[in-house]
Amino acid sequence: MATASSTQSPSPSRADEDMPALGKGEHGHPSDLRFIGIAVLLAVLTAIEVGLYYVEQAEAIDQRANVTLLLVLAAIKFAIVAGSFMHLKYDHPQFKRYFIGGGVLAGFCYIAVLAAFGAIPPWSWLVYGGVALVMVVLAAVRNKVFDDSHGDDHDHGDHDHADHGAHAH
Amino acid sequence: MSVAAPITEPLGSHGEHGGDHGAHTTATGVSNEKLAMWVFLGSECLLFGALIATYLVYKGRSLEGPYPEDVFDIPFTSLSSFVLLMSSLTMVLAVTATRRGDHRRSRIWLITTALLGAVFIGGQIYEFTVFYKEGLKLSTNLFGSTFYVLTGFHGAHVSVGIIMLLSAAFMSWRGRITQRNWESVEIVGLYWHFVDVIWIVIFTVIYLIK
Repeated sequence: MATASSTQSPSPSRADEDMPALGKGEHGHPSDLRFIGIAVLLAVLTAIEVGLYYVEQAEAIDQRANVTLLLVLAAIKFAIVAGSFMHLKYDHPQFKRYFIGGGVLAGFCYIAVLAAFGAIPPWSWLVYGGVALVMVVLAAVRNKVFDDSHGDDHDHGDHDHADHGAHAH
Repeated sequence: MSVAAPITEPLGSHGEHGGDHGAHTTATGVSNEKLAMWVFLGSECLLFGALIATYLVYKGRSLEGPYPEDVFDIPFTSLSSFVLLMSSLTMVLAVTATRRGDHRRSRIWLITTALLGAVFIGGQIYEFTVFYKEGLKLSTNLFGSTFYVLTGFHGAHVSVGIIMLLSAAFMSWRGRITQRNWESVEIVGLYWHFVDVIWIVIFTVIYLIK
């Protein structure tokens, strides 16, 4: 019991140890101030999106360019929320693989449906494929960079397995 | 005194078991509950992907109005979007507060998140009633059907999220959420952030792209 209580002492360092894969390259969680900064960034991006809507309404921008910009901004906001707020960036790589991998595959599936019904122009394939490819490459590069400094998945798995006896399930 | 864990534990409170006996390690090395939530969110991606794709397939094919440009109030919806965005911020602040052990602040942020979510739902209900008065019903045209189903499903998810938030706040108030099982709040947070992320896509694809 004494052992249990000592292992359960709620200290920030213990909570940090319990956290699976505290981000490759990230040591600890972002501060509240950083989250506020991220929220401000998201609000700014939303304002830009709304601005683009009115710019298009004024016919000051080509519709194709406007759609591309809006989709890119939405993708960026999606990535920011998923990476930072949902802690995907700091969590175990497995979560990232399941979510991003599934999302990309689902995206291709729905792009196929939309193209089959003629709901999107053919060049959309290029945009989506390009964006997906860029995301995958960036993720791979980032993982490679931080893998080199913090060890590979096996280390993570073993580390988690050993240390998450306390945290696991 | 409270070290010995009861047999039935709230979600996520697995610290004691694993720490004492090492008997509840997972095959994947990650929390089962968290993994389950991520897999569930993956399935929700498919659901909303299907609804959004359906909207896009039928976009611009309604034979009669009202059409999107006739009913959409972009400034109002932008405000709703901002409210939901801020609720994501308060949610993540609740998670970090729980993680720090600051349960009072965590409850404040959880309730604030729920309130912001309720404001968003109120905005959606107002928007729906305005659209209805302007003649856009579920069966009016393809736009009405796809729009109401998509945003209605999203609204239902937000409502469920509000219930989860209030439940988490209540559990925290009853002392059932501790720094050992703070992951429960994080899991609720994952669901809430996902709901926000889906709205990001809906707002852009449905409202902003003509």
